[in-house]
Order: sequence, then structure tokens, then C-alpha cells
Amino acid sequence: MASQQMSTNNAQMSAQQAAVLQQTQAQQLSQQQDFDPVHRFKMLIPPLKDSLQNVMTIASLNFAHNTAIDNGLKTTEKGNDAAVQRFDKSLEEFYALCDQLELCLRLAHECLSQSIDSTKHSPNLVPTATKPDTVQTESLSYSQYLSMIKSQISCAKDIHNALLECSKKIAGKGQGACN
Amino acid sequence: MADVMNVGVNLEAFSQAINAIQALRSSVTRVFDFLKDGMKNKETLESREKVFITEFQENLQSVNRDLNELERLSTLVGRPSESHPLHNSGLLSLDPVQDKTPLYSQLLQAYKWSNKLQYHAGLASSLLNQQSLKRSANQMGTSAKRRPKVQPSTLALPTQYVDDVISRIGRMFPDMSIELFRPNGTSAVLLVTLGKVLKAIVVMRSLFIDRTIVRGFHENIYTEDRKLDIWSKSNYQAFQKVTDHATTALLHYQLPQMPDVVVRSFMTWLRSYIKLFQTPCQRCGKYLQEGLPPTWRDFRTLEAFHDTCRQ
Repeated sequence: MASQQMSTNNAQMSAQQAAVLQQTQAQQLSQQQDFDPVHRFKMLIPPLKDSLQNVMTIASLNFAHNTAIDNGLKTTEKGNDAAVQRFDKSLEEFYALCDQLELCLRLAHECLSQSIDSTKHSPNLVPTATKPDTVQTESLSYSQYLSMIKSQISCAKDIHNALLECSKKIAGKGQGACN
Repeated sequence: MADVMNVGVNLEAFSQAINAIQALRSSVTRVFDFLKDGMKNKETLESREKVFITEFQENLQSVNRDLNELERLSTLVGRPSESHPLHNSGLLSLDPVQDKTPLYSQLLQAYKWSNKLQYHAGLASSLLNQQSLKRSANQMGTSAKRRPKVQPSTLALPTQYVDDVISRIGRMFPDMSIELFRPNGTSAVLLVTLGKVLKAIVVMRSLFIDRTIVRGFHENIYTEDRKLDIWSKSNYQAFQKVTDHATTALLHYQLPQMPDVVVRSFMTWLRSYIKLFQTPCQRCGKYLQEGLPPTWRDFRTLEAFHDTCRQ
């Protein structure tokens, strides 16, 4: 009897754990999908095609309806007008999808260029707690990374100021020569 | 290295995808704008309808083409890395001490500014290399110790080669006669007579032009002991200015690796003075400015300008 209760409890616990795991995985997957602009861009391509097809279909229906009215085959009654959908609404929906796709692409482009710059200026990866497998022989610790980028930022400022002073001297020298 | 190539291709694919989505939006808009505007005026109704249908079909096909291009590009774009989407800078953006030290925004500004700096430096380098004033061979890579040892091979040219180059250039311009003298050893001295306008004495070292003296056609070019006078200035201000401009032209056309091109370019430039007193200034349109004709000839276009009009 006790063993039966134990097995029942174990089954219930395993079922609950499985449910929790599935829910957690679903949340993680949805979060990952929401945060990834490339994946979002690829997911939006089929709705874009559907929206374009919808725009063309509604346009053709509207066109046929207007042609029938112009030729006198139909009358402008409420029953007939209700069957035709709004063309401008579907076109706006298509435009909204295009703009959303463009925003996803621009975001992905910006992320990729930032990743390229970071790879160029700090080639060694910084290991994190969630991904310890990336630890290498030449890994940087986070504090080392902070000090490195601080020195890089100060170097960039120094170069910027030096170039600015150089251009001022050239401009001043040019003005002196003109005078 | 392959990863960098892939990343570069990805970045280009993103730019192309952005252009593709904009092209698709534009082509769809064009279809309905064209449909709204209707048919244009033609001779007959049949040709009007035919043109309308043809253009409408072209617009629809362009929509289809743009959509296919967008689908093709959607397979090319890819994420850089799943574990580190922003590489190390992603960790910095998640740092909770962002309010105290704004390192993330400063880092991004430094990255963008560094990219712009490299781009502009590349442009400046390519522009400045076109107008280099160096008279020696371009040996930026070698150290100072090795530089004097590397002798330019164009300095030790045989005299027959120099004679051939000069005679070939002399045949290019029938109205410009070139006499060659060798008063001291192998160095050549040219006497260039340009029509009835001027005479120029060009002192050369192998095929490098060292000095140019320009005088009037009727001025004396010999010293008291019947030698070429390579030092006295011209008695006229116009030819003194032409001498100065010739010295500037020598520096402009300098190419250490191709001295025959330099000589030909310089002679082509010098020949443009054959109408020194008959050509008006291209800027002010006058013949005389402060009592002088237009003595400046542009290095690229060979146009005539006064010395005060050329800037």
C-alpha cells in the first residue's frame, strides 16, 4: 500500500516536472524567437506573401465590382456593397508588414556590425556563467575586458583631440598665409 | 578567416535585403498608382489599351521579381553567433553599473568613429598619393639604413636610350625643335625652340629634368665663350614667370619609375605656350593682366590663365 502511494506520488511529481519543463522550454523558445530579429524576419516572409496576395485579391474584387456598377449590371445597394472588403485597409496592412520587416533587417544589420566591431577590437571572448564552455586559454576576465575598453576609449579620445588640434593648426596657418 | 568572410557576406546580404524590401514596397505602390492614373493619350484607342496593358504587366512582373529576390535573400542572412549575439559588447550592455560609468555608449561611439577614421584615412591616402612631391623612389617599407643602398635603376640609362627618347619626343611636335648638347660628359642639355615664341634650356641628369630656363625667342642664349647660358634669367617678366611655372611643372609631373613619361608630359605642357601672346585668359577673358599675358598653363587641361587668375 505504501509502495503504491510512493509510486503514485512519483508519477505525479514526474508529470508535474514534465509540465513545468515543457512550459519553461516554451517560454524560453518564445523569448528567444522574440529577441532574434533574423528569426523574426524569416517568420514574417510568409505573412508578407499572404498579405500581398490578399491585397491583389481584394483589388481585383473591388475592380470587378466597380466595373459592374459602371456598366449598369449592379446597383449601389447595401447588400452588394457589404460583400466588398476595404482595399485601403489591406494595403495599409501590407505596408505595415513591409515596415516591420525593414525594421527587423535594420536591427539585425546594426547588431551584426556591432558584433564585427567588437570582434575586431577585442578578439578574445569573455566567458559567462551561463556558457562556461567558451573558456579558452586566452580568455579575458570581465574586469580585464573593462580595463581594456576603458583604455581603448581614452585612446580614441586622444586621437580625436590630436586630429582636431592638427586641423585647427592647418586652418590657422592657411589663414595666416592668406593674410 | 573563413568566419570573417562569412560575416562580411552576411553584412552585405542584410544591406541587400533592406534594399529588396524597399524595392518591393515601391513596386507595389507603383502598380496601384499606375492603375489609378489610367491610360495615356495615344493615336487610337487600341494602341492606348495595348500600351496600358503592357506597362501594367511589367509592373506586376516587377512586383513578383522583387518578392522572389526578397525570398532569396532571406535564406542568405544568418545570425552571427547564438551564444554571443553582440560578442563582448553584449555583456557590457547588461552591466548594472551603466548609470555610473556610461561605457557602453562611449564604446559604441568609439567604434563608429574608428570606422569613419579608417575610411577617411584611406580616402586621404589615395588622394595624397596622386599628388606626391617625392623625387625619389617610393620606399616606405624599407628602413633608413637600406634606403641609400637601393639605387634607382633609371638613373644609369645609356646615352643612346636618352637620345632615342628625346628624338621621339621631338618628332611628336613638329612646331617644337629640340637640340641636344652634352657639354660635360653624359648629362644632356636640351635647347627647345617653340615656334617663334620662346626658347627653353632644359638641363637633364640622365632622363631626369633638373632645371629649366625659359627665355624669349630673340634673347641671347649663349655666354661670352659661346656656351649655353644655363644660369642667367630672362630680361622679360613674362618669361621669368614661365620659368617659375616650368619649375613647378617639373615637380608636378615627377614619376621616379617612369622618367620618359615625365619628359613627355613636361614637353606636352611646354608646347602649350606656343600661343603665349595670342590666347586670352580662360577666367577673365583678357589678354593682359598687370601688363603680363596669361603665363600659367593648367597641368591637366593645359588651359591658359593669368598668374593672378589661376586660383
